[in-house]
Amino acid sequence: MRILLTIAWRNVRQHKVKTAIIGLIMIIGIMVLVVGNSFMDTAAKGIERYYIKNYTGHLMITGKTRGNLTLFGFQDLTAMEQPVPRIPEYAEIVEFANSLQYVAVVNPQVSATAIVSRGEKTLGATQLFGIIPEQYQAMFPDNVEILEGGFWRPGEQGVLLNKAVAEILEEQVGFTFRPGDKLLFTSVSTHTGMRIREVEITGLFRFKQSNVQLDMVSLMDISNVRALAGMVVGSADPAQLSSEEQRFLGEIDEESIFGSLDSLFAEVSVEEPETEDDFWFSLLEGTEAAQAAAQEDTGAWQYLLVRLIDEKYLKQAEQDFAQFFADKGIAAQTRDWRQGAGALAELSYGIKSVFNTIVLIIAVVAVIIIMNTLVISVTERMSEIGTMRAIGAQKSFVRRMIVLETMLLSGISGLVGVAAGALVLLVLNRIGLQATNVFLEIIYGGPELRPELSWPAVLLSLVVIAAVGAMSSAYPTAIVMKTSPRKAMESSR
Amino acid sequence: MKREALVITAVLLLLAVVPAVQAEDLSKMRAILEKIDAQSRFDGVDFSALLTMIVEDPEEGIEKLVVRQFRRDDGERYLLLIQEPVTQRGQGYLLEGDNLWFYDPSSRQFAHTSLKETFQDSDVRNADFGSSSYASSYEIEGYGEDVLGSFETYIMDLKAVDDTVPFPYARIWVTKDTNLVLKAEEYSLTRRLMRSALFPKYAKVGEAIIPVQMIFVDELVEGKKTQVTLSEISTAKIPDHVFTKAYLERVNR
Repeated sequence: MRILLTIAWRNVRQHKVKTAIIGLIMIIGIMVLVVGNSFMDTAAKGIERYYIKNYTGHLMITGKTRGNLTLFGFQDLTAMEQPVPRIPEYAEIVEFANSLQYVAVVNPQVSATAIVSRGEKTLGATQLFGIIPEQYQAMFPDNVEILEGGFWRPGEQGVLLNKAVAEILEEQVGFTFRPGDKLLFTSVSTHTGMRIREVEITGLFRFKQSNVQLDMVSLMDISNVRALAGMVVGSADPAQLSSEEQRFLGEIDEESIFGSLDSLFAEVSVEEPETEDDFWFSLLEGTEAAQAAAQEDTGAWQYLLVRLIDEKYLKQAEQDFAQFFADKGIAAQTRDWRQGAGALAELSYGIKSVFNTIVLIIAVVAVIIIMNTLVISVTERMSEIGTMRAIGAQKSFVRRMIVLETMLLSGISGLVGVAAGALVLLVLNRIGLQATNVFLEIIYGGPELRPELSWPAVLLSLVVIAAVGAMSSAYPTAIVMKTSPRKAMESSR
Repeated sequence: MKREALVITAVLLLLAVVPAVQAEDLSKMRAILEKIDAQSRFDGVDFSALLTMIVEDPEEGIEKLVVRQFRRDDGERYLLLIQEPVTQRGQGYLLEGDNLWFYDPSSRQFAHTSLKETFQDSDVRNADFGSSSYASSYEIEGYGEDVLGSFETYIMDLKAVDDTVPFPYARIWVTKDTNLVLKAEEYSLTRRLMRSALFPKYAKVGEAIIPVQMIFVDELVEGKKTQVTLSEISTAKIPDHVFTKAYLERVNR
């Protein structure tokens, strides 16, 4: 082994140009890997901290449903088609959650999107989180900064308007909203149709850590948000359809609809005029039933956010809740903070995947370049290798020599690359990278990123460089092994 | 030489005649649009009907809405009162000229809404409840002929002249003999097909001819559509107080 090392080291030193070229490629590759992955790991941690701490908690419990359900409602093509389900057996779930040692705090929420208007003027839209202030503040104590006024008092109603939303609305009315002003919120749900609520602004706030999605969120009392989200006690009876009404259900065929020439005109009877005053005011027989059906479903929630005492309990919590739901036959499910956080968090992780793919492509290109350089280098030394074989060196000796030579080069380059990457990261950490636009803010998980050296990234880089070294030496070794010692010795002539 | 002169003269004549023919056809198409609008209006009389709307949704299943419609085209007014389902009973829409109000009886509040918006969760737009305004809202971009089922039709490609209509582009199939719209395809600004509408049944009510059965197909969500059927049609005088906010409040007491 010592002889092998000596020969390998001699070769590395003797072929300075080759060593410099391969070494430089490897150093740059490793440096890119270390810096890039550390950068993404820091961003991922930032995003994680940012979302968990500020508005998602570790886990989100919802009613069982398909589709991409986030705290902002469904964020896919089903968004307008299916309502966010209520959590079944809510009280039982809360009791179970509070009984778990690793659960720090829980917070229930309801989400709705509403058009905001004042008088005849439509001002804009806002996302609403229906909350109980005390519970929300206990879960996210650091993220709500009250700028004016405050939360509504217990038992009262109101909206804490996001300053970012207020500024958009104010552009339409030309004045500044103050606590005490009233706004009309209108929403549409599949269950109850359109709903309007006039709600008083009790205060204005901003999320200290925000993003484009969170900037659209205002906080409102749960009662009004339930009404806007269509969470009422009544339910529509299943539709009873006549045979004529069923005619056009499912697929429709234009040709058969318009197939008969005499089908276009229908005989209708035009009814006699109504003269009785009673007729006009008795059209809604049973307004009591409608009023009863429109009553708020108190106790209904769409989300239960759970914060754990430590993130290490996340998997255990998911398993425990799944077991609990299965045992009790409750149609609920848990989703982790990433699903809860919505499109922006997913986008950050999507970008990381793209980055990793780019790194993989760079690694493949590096392997090809290094391999070619090694092939040239080995071919140049063919006579020397032939002589070694002729005087008794075994194939395995020559193979180990070439592999060791490449690994030595990879090892040194790898360490230098890691050191260079660490230096770059140290500088970036000191300077701090400012997110100058929304896109960067999404990637950074906040307005600023101070990347730190990530040990998993260092480990990954060293594994990659070892793999690159091993793969790069495989082809030239195979060439040497195929050549007989006599031919190899002849090649120098 | 004589023959060449003859050919040139013929070509020149043709070039002069073709645009004239096209202009004549275009004015004929415009006249058809005006006729469509005119025959859908109730001038001098009021109109009321019971609308049954079947909303078919692949996710939500089938929902049935029963809506009472009162309409007075003089002054562009209508009032829609939802009778079924019980969870939406008493909700209403009041159109006064360009102003459309929605009333929510659960909070006793009115909110301004738009004719371009969808009616509740259906595929019907609020504008579909009034008289048609093809001639004043659209200009003709192109036209042709087609056969739809057993009907000889004109096809017209329309482009909105302002933003008061729900869709900026439309293509309509109009019967040649009776000038009734059988089908309409409505497109977004990027010319994406948003909705198709079929009008398989018409009825003559007084002087007007109106569709009494309509099918609106959502072209963005596969399997989603709404059929509307009119019954209990009347052209009797409707009291003025019906077209007021106060009526919507009072009828809900």
